[in-house]
Amino acid sequence: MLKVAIIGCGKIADSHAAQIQRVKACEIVAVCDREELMARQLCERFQIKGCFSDVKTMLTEAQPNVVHITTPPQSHHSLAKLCLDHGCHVYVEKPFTLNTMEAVDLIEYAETKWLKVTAGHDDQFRHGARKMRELAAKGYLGSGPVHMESYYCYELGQTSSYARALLGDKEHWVRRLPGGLLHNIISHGIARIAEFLTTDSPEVIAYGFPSPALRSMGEDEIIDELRVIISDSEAATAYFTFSSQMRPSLHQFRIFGQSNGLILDQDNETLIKLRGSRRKVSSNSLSALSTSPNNTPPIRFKTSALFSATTFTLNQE
Amino acid sequence: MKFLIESFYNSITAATAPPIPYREIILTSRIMDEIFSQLRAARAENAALCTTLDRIRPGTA
Repeated sequence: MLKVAIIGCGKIADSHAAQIQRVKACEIVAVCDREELMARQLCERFQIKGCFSDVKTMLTEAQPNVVHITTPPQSHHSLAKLCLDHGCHVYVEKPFTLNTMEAVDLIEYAETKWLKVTAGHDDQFRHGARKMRELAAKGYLGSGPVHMESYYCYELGQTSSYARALLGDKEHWVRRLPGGLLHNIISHGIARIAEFLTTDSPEVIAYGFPSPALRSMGEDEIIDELRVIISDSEAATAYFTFSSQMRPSLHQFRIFGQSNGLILDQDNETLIKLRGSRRKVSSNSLSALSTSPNNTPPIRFKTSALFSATTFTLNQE
Repeated sequence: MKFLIESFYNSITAATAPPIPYREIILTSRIMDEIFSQLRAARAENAALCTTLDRIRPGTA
C-alpha cells in the first residue's frame, strides 16, 4: 500500500485527491498547506487523517512514499527536493518548474537518490492521446512527423473566477511567473509537440500579444495570444497556438506523417484518422466536411465505450 | 489524471521507467523557456522603441 501526501490544498488539489482515491493499493495519509484552514477543509472533504501546515513535520510524521505537489510553481523545485530528501517519489503539478535549469536539477537530484519524479502532463494520458501514441508507434503516420499543430486555448472571459482573480490582483502569483499566464497553461499543448520531436534543441519562433479584449479592460501586461513555430532540425515543424479569444476554444493536436495524419480533439475525446491517399468519396463512406448531397453523414463511428475516444476515418476528396 | 497517477505509482512499485520520459519534461521546459525569453525581448524592444518615438516626437523635449 503506497502512502500518498499532497502539498498545497488549493483548487487543483481536489482533483488530485479525487483521482488518487480511485487508484487501488494507495491511501492519502496526509495533506499540507501553509494555510491550516485550507488543509483542514481538504481533509474533511476527502476524509484524510493527517492534516499539516508545515511540510517538514508532515514528511517526518506521515512518512509518505509519494508526494503530490500542487502549490504555485514558484515553490515546486524547492518543495520537490525537500520531499526527495525525505525519500519520497514526487508528482509535480504542471508547470513542472519555473525553468529548464530547475527541471534538469530536480530530475538529476531524483536520479541520484534512486527516486522518481513526474510532471502533471495528464492530458497526455487521456484515452485519445494514448490511442494516438499507439497508432503512431505502429507506423500509421508512415514515418516520423512531417508537421504538427497544437492548439491549447483557454477562455479568459470576465465572468470566469480565474480571470477575475488574475485581472483583479496585480500581485497574483500567475503574473509573477517568468511566462505569466502562458506559463501556467501552455505546458499541456507544448508537451504534445515535445513528445514527437527528435532534437533536444529545436528552433523556436514566438509571437505573443495581449488580446484586444484584455486591452479594452486596461490590461496590457498579460499576454493571452501566442503563436509559435517550432522546427526540429529541419526534419519536422510544428505550430503552437494559444488563444483566449478564438472560438471554438480548441484543445486539439494534429500530426501529419508521410503516409497519414491524425487529429486528436481532446474536448470531444475524439481521434480522427486522416488517410493520406487521395481517392474518390464512395456513397457509403464518411465525409463530414463535404456538402455534397451524394455523401452520407458520419456513420462510421466506433463507439467502443461511452466517455472513451471515438476513432473514425475521414476520407479526403 | 487517474491514468497518469496510476502509471506513476506502478512505475514506483514495479521499479520501471516513469510514464513521462525525463527528456520530454526537459524539452517541454526548454521550449517554454525559449518562448518566454523571446516574448520578454520583444516587449523590451517595443518599450525601447516607444521611448525613442516619444523623445523624437515634435513638441516634446
